[in-house]
Amino acid sequence: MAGYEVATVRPARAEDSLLRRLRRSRTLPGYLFLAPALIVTVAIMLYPLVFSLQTSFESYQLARPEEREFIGLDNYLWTIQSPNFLNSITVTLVFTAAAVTLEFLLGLALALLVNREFRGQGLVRTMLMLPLFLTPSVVGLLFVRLYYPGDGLVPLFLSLFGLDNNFPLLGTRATALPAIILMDVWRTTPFMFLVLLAGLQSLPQEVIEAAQIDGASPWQILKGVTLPLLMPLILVALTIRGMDAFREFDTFMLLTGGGPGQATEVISMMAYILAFRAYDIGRASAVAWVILILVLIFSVFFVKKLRDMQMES
Amino acid sequence: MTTQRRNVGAGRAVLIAIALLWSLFPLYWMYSTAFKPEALDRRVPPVFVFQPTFENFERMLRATPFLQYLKNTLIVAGVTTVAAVALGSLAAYSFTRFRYPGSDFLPLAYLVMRMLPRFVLVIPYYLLMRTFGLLNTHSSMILAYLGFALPFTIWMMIGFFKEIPIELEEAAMVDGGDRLRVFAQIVLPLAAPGLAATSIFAFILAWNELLFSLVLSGRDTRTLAQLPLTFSTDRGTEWGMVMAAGSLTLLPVIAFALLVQRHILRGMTLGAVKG
Amino acid sequence: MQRISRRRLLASGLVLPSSAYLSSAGVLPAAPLALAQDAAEATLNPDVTSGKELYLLSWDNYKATGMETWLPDFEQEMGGRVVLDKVASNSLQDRQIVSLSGRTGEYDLMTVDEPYMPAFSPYLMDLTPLIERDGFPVDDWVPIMWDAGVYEGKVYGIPFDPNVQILYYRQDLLDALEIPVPTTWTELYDAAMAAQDRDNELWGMAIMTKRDPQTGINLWTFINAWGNEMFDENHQAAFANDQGYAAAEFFKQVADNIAPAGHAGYDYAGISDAFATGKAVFMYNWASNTLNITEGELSVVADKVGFAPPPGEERALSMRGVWTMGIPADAPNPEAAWEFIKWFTTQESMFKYIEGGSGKSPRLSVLDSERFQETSPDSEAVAATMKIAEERPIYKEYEEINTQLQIFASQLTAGELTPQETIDGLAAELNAIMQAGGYQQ
Repeated sequence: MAGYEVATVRPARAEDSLLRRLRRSRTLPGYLFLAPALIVTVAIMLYPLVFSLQTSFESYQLARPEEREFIGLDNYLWTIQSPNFLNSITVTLVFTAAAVTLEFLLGLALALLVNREFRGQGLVRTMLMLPLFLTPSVVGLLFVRLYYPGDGLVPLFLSLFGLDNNFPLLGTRATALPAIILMDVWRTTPFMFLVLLAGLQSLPQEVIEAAQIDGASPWQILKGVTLPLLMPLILVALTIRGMDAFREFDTFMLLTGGGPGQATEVISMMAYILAFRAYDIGRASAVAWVILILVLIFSVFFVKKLRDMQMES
Repeated sequence: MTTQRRNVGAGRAVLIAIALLWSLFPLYWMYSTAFKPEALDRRVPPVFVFQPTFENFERMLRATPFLQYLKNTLIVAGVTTVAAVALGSLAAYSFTRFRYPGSDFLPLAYLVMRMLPRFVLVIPYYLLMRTFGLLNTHSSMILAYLGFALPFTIWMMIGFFKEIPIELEEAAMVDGGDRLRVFAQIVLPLAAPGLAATSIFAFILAWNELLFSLVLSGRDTRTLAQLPLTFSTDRGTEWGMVMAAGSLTLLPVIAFALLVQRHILRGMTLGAVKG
Repeated sequence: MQRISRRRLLASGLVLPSSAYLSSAGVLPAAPLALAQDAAEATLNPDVTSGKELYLLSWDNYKATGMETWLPDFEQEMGGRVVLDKVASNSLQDRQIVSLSGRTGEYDLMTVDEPYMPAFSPYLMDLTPLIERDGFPVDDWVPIMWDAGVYEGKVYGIPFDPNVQILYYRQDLLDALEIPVPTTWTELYDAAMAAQDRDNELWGMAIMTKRDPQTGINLWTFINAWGNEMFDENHQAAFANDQGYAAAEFFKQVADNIAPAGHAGYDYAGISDAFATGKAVFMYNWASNTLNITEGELSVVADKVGFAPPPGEERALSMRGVWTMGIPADAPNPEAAWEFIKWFTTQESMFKYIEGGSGKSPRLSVLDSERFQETSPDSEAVAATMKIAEERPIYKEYEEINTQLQIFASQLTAGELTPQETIDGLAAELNAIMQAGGYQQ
């Protein structure tokens, strides 16, 4: 390729030279192919983020538009001292950890269940993955109905085991978050299931067969062979699902609105309430930036890990 | 040995049946409530057998702006998909076929963008769209959705492009074709199944989005994901109508999910898993 | 049944709406009940509205229902078309601030709930010059109702629909036990205990306690009934005292002993649903729910319900909830929108609005008329209640106050906080909001 470039250095017209060099170069076309996406990304990701960095240093309330002013780090000081922020972070992390762990265990169990060949395997796989794609706000409303005290199917089902069918599952601290976690487990276990099933099916069969011949029990094979082999994949799946659970908004909005008290007020909801109900754009921007920095640190680690893995494979 | 295997099989069948019941029952309940006469809906014990009716659908279509929301959703999700796939595949092609300063780093930057919580962007989007007079337009939502659809499409397409043997392109280049023509005439046709899967994936993402839509849409531009919020009124919640709207909203998503299930993993894991 | 309640009300001297309104106004002499008189109206100018399309953002509830029935008349009489954009209760205020502050020019008109008026005022048109220019008949508005549209001396909204909370009760159940209609919350509690049958899902009082605006309003109601104000004149929270604790304690007792077992999971519509389907002896709710009870398809108690003003304790009062019609500062057709408001609040239009849904009217000439009396079986109770209606504090921070009320009230009823912790915690949060807002030094 380089030879071509040298050969085209002496054209009759300068324009022609530029055009040709553009065509032959290995770097320039790369940038040209990338340019549209890059321009859009700068305009709709980077610029808005920098913009919100600016508002995070301002006192800016939608109900007092004329009193906008620069106040330095005040919004950040408020954020890190705010019990609401601490509460939201805690709720979000508890939700994320519990939901993702349960989804992983259940997804692994399902994947092991469906892994061996049987007739109708494809159909079963398809039906098990369906909930994953459903519109979250619709799922939220569906579960409001399913959990409704008195005539909701879940309390009615629990009443078969002696519980009160009028028990408000979404209304007590002990049950509200678990009820949302259960909904999330229903909705997104298929993600873990699909990833782990793909992983299981790509494992070298010889290793497992060798273990079987050595007389290892299925449990020993799972612990000693399958899981270690799948570990990189599991890490990827946990991280991606974890980040998605971390920003969950729609279902919380519909199921509890953050209550009872602030028992289910996740961080995305806190930011939304701060901006559009307390009208405090400055503080909401600061909260967003604190989260952004935490997520950035985390995902840079993750991306490094992922790249190392991809290089190995 | 054979009998033992059959026993294990039977046990597994029961477990699989339970798993299917768990996965499909809430959906079944949504569709069944949608077709159930309103008077039977709140019965205890619940009614499972009844004469299905379209009553709820008819009332819902009359009483809610479902069709208007549907139109908006189709426009926003459609344009977002086309734009994201077009820009995303160009970028992905650049990342897989060229080496230049940034060709290693930028794909990873897009990976990080995939991780960003969307609520971080809601406020600046609101303020900026206001400045540019774009609130209550389809464009504002398309731009916002593009922001998070792009990382998905780029990474899905990187996976598909990597699978296309580079020799085919080199042959075409030697014959004197330029880059863009090679891309359009050789690479894209080969990547067509991947493009389709990526498109559908981007479409579902946009179809399901609520947070941005809540803040950026307005009188004329609300999308279907917002419809569930319109049923809590002081007249009581009419669950038959709610479920009718929900089941129609989910229909295309379910259909698309079935279509792309082979490639879905790649989308979910940004190419880390091929599926 | 209703005749009985009417007689009781007559006996208690609260029945004549005219006297109720007028004396509540404090300045006007009492007037006898009369046929609707032709009140003075501002001159309408169809030339301005002709051919115009006006977009109106409304709460998707009885207000929209009431408007839809007579909007075609506007087209006929004034030549303009009004397009309703209906938004659900829980997201209406979110949409309003987003649209107003976004200066989108989407709407010519907006229904604004009074406590949000201060926050929205920077984005609404000052109607004062138009009122003066066109001789708008301000005198026909009940003064405390008119005030709901005024902030810092400027008129940002014309009140069109006053709402109050009233007591709904099952006349048949009370009669069977020979229990009189309660006039204090303690009496209500005892009556509910006596009349309910919890094993068969007949609850004493339909009430919700999940994190929701209505739950906050419930706590507020009890705080007021036990003799406290939310804030004193120095903008300090003024309810952290023994009566405040007693009020919170009472709410907890209500939740534990006479509310539906699933009260913490009920949504706002669920309260009215429960009462309408015969599952509750009492309901304390906004009067706009009456049609669900008397005309709703699922209602089984239409002929068994009675209406009464709210019970008192230390004092009897109801929260004033006046909805006003405002014009966004960026409205594309402000003059036509103003014409619509004038037309919409004429006596005749107000009657049609009331008859089409479950709205009321803030106009004296409407409230004083027999035609109004006939619109709804709860008119007497509503009229009596309006006499004791009180406004909520006027702050730009209303939504923040509202949020804290919901949070603390739902924690109280869920048993996470004791009544004392609830009251003290809420007072501290409200003081913090007042301090941040610069009201307290």
